[in-house]
Amino acid sequence: MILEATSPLIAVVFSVLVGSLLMVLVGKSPVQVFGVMFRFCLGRADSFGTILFKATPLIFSGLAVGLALRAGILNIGVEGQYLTGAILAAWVGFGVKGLPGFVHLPLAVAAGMVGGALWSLVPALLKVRRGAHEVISTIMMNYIAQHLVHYLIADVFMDKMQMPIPGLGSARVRTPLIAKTAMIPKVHGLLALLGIALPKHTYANWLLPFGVALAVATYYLVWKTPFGYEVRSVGHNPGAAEASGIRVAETRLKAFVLSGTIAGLVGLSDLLCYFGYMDVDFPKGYGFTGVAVALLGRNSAAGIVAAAFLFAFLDRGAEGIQALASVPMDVIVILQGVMILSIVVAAEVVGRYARNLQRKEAARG
Amino acid sequence: MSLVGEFVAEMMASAIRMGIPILLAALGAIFSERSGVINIGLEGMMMFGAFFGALGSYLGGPVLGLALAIAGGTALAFVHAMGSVTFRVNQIVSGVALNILAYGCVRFSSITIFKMATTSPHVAKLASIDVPSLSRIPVLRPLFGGVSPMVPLAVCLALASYWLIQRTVFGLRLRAVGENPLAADTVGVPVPPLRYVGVLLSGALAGLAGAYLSIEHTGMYVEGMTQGKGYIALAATIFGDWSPLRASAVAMLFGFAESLSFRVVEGGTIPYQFIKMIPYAMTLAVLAGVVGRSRPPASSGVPYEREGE
Amino acid sequence: MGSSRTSTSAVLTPGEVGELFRSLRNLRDRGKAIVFISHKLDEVLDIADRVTVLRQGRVVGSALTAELTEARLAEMMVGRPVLLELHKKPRQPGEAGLRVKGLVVHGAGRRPAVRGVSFEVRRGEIYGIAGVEGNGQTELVEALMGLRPIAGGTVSVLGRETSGLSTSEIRRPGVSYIPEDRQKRGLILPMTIWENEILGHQRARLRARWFLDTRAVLAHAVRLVEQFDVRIGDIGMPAATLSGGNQQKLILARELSSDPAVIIASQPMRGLDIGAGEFVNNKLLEARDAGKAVLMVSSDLEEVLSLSDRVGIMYGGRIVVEFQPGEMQPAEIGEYMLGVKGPADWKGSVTA
Repeated sequence: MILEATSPLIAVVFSVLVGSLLMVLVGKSPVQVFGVMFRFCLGRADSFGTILFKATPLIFSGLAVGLALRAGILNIGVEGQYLTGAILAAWVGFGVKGLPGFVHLPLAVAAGMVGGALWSLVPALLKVRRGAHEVISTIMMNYIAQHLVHYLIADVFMDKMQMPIPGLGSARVRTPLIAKTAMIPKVHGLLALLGIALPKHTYANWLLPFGVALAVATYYLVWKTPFGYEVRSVGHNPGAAEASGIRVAETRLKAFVLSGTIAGLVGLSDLLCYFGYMDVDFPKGYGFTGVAVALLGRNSAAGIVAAAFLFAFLDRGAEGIQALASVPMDVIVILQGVMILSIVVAAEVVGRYARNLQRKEAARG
Repeated sequence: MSLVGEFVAEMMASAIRMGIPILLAALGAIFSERSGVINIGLEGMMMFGAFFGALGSYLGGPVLGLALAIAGGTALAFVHAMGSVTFRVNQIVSGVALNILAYGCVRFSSITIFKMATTSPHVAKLASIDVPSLSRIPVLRPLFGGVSPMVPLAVCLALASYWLIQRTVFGLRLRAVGENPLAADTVGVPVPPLRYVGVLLSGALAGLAGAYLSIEHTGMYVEGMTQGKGYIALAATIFGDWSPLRASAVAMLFGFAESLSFRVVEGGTIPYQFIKMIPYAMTLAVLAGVVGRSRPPASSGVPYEREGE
Repeated sequence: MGSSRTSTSAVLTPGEVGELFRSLRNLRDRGKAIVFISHKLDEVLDIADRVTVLRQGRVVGSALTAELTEARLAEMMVGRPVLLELHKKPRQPGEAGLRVKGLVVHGAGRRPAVRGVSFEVRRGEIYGIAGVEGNGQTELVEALMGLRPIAGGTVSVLGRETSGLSTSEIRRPGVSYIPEDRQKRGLILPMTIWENEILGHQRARLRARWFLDTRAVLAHAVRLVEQFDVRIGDIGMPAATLSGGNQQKLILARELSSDPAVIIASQPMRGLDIGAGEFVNNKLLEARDAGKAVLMVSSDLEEVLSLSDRVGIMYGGRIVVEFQPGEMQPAEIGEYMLGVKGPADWKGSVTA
């Protein structure tokens, strides 16, 4: 057990080594570059705020992937689910007017969750009813979502009343602005109580503590409830789960849609705190990073939160080394890719070794 | 009359231009999946092909470009093969990681070599060919005149793939390894080497598909030029029931949908985004069993482990 | 030249075993060396000249079969004296526990695998179904448990019709199931031993509001493990770390402890050593003596004959003959198992 926990560590070390090699290739000293990165990330209040902000969507994404994975479902569709969640939340955000904030904001967040849930319902039904492999169907759903959202933004919701931006000839292809009552407050006030002053131009917001709380909640759900027990049973061995009387299809469907519901929250931190509208360049890729976060965190609640922060740290660090050490920030993207690969390889190798040990121990016992 | 004919010919030519990269990558997906390895990393391998193709063409002409593209795609495929065959990790995860890795590598190389993250300078194309006599008929001119030599090459590769998979001992063994590796192993067919070959071939073909995009189609490398074509190729594979000829036909169909989406923008009756959804929606319909039924190789995606290892 | 076969005779009828042994002796007499691997004592003593016993991967001893008795050989295999004859009390059958009427079940490719099977298992008796594997036994059991749709006929448990119900609805009023493939159907190997002890009961008794009552679950699991003598290292270890015999005991513990009225056991002794097999036998007999209706399906005719109160032979998706052990000679049973003989309305051999 202790042995198996080492695999993320091995992966991090290995990927840092690969990153260092690339830095040497472009004639930089890895020690110096990583030094710059650490100073940039840890020594500045705005970096701290940015890391908190960047970690938020990754926590939700990692939790969404992780929960489905418990039921043996690889939800590659978080990518599309958060886009549909975001567009629905945006629609509630700009379309509904006159509500007080304590109603409007929860409504917008709920809309995001519904959007994600609906988008996951299609591949979930296809899987349990028709046996369609969820990886392929969710990839297809991702692209359909991308084009659908593009259509909604450009042709249906397009804000034709917007003030032209000085120096930019044409209007932006985006939705109308989301009402103030649906915007998520920042956590600056809370952190000020703890004596941490975040600069105004950082966007750490209340979805972060919400995400951490959700991580704790999923831990209890998975490990302490009958439903969680059923989800894990179905994930490990659907045949035995079925023979014991667990409804396999129903359990898979619930877990898949629950995963989609969480996925619907992924885009909201950007949408309801940073942008305040949805445009055609809405951030992409959180879903795929979520796969990495769930794996790196070994699919535990605490691990996922930690991995989300690590990825946020790397992203922020990438900006730092590009600006201050003139190393292309893509070194960090490569490093992240290597990290995912090495985590699964390390987990497999270490796991095999641990199983052998266990078997020997059991034979002796 | 000839105006309509020319329009149809032009549409077909455009569909072929759009369909060729999907076709090549789909052939790649077939080799990999028939051997039992799902290759989600196809997209990344195409990115490698597009970039290294442009780089090779920039440095020493289009032929070197093709060679580098194939080498790049194969190199990335080798990593996928190591992960999925040797280390038996989750093949989907490996593919997702490779796509992220490829994105980073290509941008990094582009900045380091071209000093620009997103584009390369213009690069030389292969000499285009006119099909003798047919290209002189005015109506057929768009179809048979000034054709990229990679179009006939792709057609040959599709036929060759069919022959290789269906008619040779190698193909039989490849399919056996993808359907029932245990049985194959029992009769002495080496499982891991064949899976390596399947994955490496898929990388080479995906690299070639990428090279077509950068060298032949655009004449330069542009970031994001693969636009999910690797995934569309997976869709074509499923829709084509893992058969080279049927998947090629589907690739052309998807190419047609894509070229149609450009024209609809001008027409403006149907939003072009909906035309772009066609390949994905069609694949979902196949997955749901609404339109025909397709069956993947039985052991595709399942790592093979000998007992007691 | 040597050739080795593993448990060749496990799927053969008595007649076929005799035929096989004649061929083997023939080969031996022509100077071939033959390695015969089996867990069946009588067969080994019958065919072999010398025998080597393996236990837990080690050679325990070798001997000439002429110098061995079944009891001595069993002792070598288990490491302690074994009672080969089961101590069976006379049965006292009660009301019907499980009643199956005209059951039809489709197998792979929608071909009928079970074609009109009827039988009844009373409380306090063990009904054994024997037959060469692949004659519809698997499909029959899965249909009884709601794991496979029923195409025709009825099943009732304690007088209540269960055909068409889901597995959990069938299990709830007291049906337990010991599946033929314990690793695919019986246990969730990567999950812990204690989690496996509550599989199927997670919503029933061990719940405190929304959460599992972990303390009660653990106490329950520890008790079961002790009662059923499952040899474990730590109750928090994955079930995968247990030996086959202990995995089967784990399943028995779970399935028998819920006080079922009906027990459906499919190939319960398969792959077990003599010691574990004896344990399973005794537990099933105990259950029968406690007034439970036990259905036991096995392809090992001897197992069925020694344990059951009544036996049905399955061939071609039907029960072709029913009798009490001792009523019929092995040779005749073999003819039924191979479809040479059939019931009165038999129309030649069924091949489809």
